[in-house]
Amino acid sequence: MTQKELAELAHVTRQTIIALEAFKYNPSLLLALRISKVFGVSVDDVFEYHE
Amino acid sequence: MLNRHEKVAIFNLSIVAIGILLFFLLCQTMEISKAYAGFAVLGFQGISHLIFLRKKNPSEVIEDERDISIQQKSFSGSSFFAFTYFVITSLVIYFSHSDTGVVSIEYLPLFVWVGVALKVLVSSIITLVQYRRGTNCGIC
Repeated sequence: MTQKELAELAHVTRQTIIALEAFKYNPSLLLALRISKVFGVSVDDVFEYHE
Repeated sequence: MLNRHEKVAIFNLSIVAIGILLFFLLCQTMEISKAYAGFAVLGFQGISHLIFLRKKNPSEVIEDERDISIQQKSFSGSSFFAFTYFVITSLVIYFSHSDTGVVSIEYLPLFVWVGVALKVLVSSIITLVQYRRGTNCGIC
């Protein structure tokens, strides 16, 4: 899946996907849930929590 | 590559620069009260949305939560600067003219135009820094 496809499915811009991948943006809970739904996995499988 | 909102910020920065430049150029050829017309180009910042934030297709996402978060921060940051400027300048004008109680109407618009230009300038800079720095958070 390309960044563009993921962005379209998650209803965000491609720049936000790039920022997420580069750890430059912390998504809202809604966006995290939406992205995990796109991949069909839980939020924990997509995102990691760092102190 | 710049995103749409960065392009809008750069466009607005250019508009401010052109406005200030035009004002100083017009000051050379005419009196200051007429040279204020140079600041009228600040109004062109309104067309930045028409140029850069138009949807090419209905399903295209123009802005998302990250963009809105950055816009909110740039708005509050620039508002802080603008209001601080207006308060300080008002006090300076008041105390510097307290002996006569008269402020020249010729220079009063300059005070307002500079405030407007400052707001646009600070807003654009904060927007560009936020996108470059990349520490934005959807919930903080």
